Amino acid sequence: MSNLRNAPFSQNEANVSTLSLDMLLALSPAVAFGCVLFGWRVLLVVGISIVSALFFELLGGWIARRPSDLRDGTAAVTGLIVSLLLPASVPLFVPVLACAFGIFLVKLPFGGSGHNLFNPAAAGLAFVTECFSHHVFAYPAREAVIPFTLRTPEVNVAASPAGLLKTGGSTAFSWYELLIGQVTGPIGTVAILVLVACAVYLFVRRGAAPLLTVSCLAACAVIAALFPRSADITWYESILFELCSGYLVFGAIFMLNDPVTSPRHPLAHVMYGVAVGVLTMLMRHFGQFEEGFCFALLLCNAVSGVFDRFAWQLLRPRRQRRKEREV
Amino acid sequence: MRLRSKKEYRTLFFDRAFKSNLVLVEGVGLCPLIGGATTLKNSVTMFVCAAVTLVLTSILMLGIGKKLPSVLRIPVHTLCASALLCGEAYLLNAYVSTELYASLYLFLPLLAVTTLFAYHGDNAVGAFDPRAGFVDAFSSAFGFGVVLCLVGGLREIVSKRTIWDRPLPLAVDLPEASLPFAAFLLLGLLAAALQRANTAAADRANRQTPTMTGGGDV
Amino acid sequence: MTITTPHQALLIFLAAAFAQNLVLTTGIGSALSVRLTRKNGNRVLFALCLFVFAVLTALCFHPIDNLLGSGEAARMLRPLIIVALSAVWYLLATWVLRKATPRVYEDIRAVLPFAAINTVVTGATLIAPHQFGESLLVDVALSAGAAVGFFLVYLLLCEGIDRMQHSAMPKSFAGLPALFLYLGILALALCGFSSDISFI
Repeated sequence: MSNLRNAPFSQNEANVSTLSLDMLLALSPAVAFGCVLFGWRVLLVVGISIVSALFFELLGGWIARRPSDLRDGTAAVTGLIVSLLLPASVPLFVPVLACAFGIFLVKLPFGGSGHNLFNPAAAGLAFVTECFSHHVFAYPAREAVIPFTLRTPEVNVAASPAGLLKTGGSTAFSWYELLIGQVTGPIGTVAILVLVACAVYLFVRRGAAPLLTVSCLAACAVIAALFPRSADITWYESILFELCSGYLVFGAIFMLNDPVTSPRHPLAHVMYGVAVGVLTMLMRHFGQFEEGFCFALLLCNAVSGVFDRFAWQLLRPRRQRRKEREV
Repeated sequence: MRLRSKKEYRTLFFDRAFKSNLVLVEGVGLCPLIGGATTLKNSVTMFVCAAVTLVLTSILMLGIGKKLPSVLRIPVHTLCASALLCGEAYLLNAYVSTELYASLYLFLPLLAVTTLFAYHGDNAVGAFDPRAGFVDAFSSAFGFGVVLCLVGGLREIVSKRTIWDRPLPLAVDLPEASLPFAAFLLLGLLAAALQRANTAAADRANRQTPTMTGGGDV
Repeated sequence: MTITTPHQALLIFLAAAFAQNLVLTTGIGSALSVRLTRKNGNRVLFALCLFVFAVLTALCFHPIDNLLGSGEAARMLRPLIIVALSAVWYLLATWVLRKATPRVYEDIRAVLPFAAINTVVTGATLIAPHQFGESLLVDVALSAGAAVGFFLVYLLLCEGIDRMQHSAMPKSFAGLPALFLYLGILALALCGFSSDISFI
């Protein structure tokens, strides 16, 4: 029951390095599939994002006069996650700014790896979503060919499933298209089946907590079934479209399971996951953007310690009773 | 203890304006700053109003504060500050600019709360020296004004590409800089920079102070 | 959009408390909430005083505002009226608590001025020209929502300060700078909600 008052618990360097490596390995199929779907510019976006995250981590350490250890891999994970949540045709300054925001204002000022109160990737993405939403949600059409260029490519844009749901438009996608990524959207989030495979890897490696992911997606599914956003779909179609649109599944697997900002207790996992799911759906319904997962995650990061304390308090009488019986 | 030398007044000024800055060290005055300091004009206007109100209410409370029961000091201070701000708002609307008044309508009254927290009460140096009380109040307001102008100016440049309503040839265009989150983050960075500067100055002062090593009567 | 039903007023209350939290979407009340984290006092009693003062201010302000009318002088006097009302509640609460329940008064003594001063701050919702029309229902809903929202931000700040108590934080950011960044990130997080509704 040590250190319960503070949700960040993963401060052991060897542990963090292993977790980061697992995360990078788990995300590599998403990068590969993104290249298959959107072209080689994906590698440019991912590469620039990771390099800038590493650079800003080093720069921050130099300014603060404390050496940054890039070997823990957390900066690389931040850069990779940020890039996978952006379109393949995004201007390159967007992921750079997102990484700068996440590292300089969210991670380093609070103590660096293992001490950040908020998920840096979610914060960086929230920042660029608020300031450059016209770039963040400008997804290239499925048939568009994105040239491998440092400049912003001029491609036809199309509405993603999340965008169509937001405007109440027709969601004419089949199950197959949604699950294997035959739709437009962020680089690493459209191929749901690939993400599920990555999730299984992480769960087996204990780099992610299944309860967190499942409770978040379950909460979203319930709200999607009860309050479909499109008039011409059934309740199970609504669940499918809501879960397969935006970066909800990606976020529930890779960002919700951040070992530093998520709670520790299994019951707290359920509460936290449900809270993020409910807030995400509220923002999707009433917010100004087509996807609000990163904003919802930031709000819940602020109270993750509360969930842990509540869970321990709830279960304390039972544990005490069990101890008395044993004595 | 009365302050007598110019050096003491200067030290008091820099201490109140920077070392114990109202916003960046004491966390006072955020309400008008976050919401109102979106342009340099707004910031300068709020600085002038805050300075006049703070100086006059501080001098008034120095005079009558000790004669009032403790429970009445906060309400009397706030009411006097609000009344002064009402007058300043009228003058701003009638003789300066109605547009400026309209944009600051909500935030000028909140300066009353700022002046309440900025007033150092019985601990003020001016409790024994009115001139020091004036310097104390003015320097607090000056420090507040510096932060106001920094934040307001930067936000105007980034969000509107103007400064004092004059256009600037800049490529950056970020209207979201006028939102509260940008102001909070900017304040965090400014506060960290000031804290670092204060720590460095304190370290330098400690190194320069000669240490007493031996005993014996001098 | 004019609010006429209690159901609509409840939505306004919830929006003012959560989705369009006054402190995080406008900065109004942020200085008070930061300062309050340095005081010790009974939080439940403080929340109760906050709520009661806010509702009483709205209930009293509305008829006075109707009497004043909509002239320029009335517009300038409104903030002064709110300050006067908050002063009255503070003195009344102090007198009543001292006489009736001195122990409760000792518990809440450090934070009672903040509850009163906060009515000056949340009074911004009463004098701001917002989009929901002028009615007693709207005034009470906005005022109460702003008070609840302020208390929520105060609790979030206490939680954040608790979690920031460790030695790994750079010295330059320890204390107020980190708190500002914390508030900024929370304010950014609330940007996910719609900006069509604004209470000021």
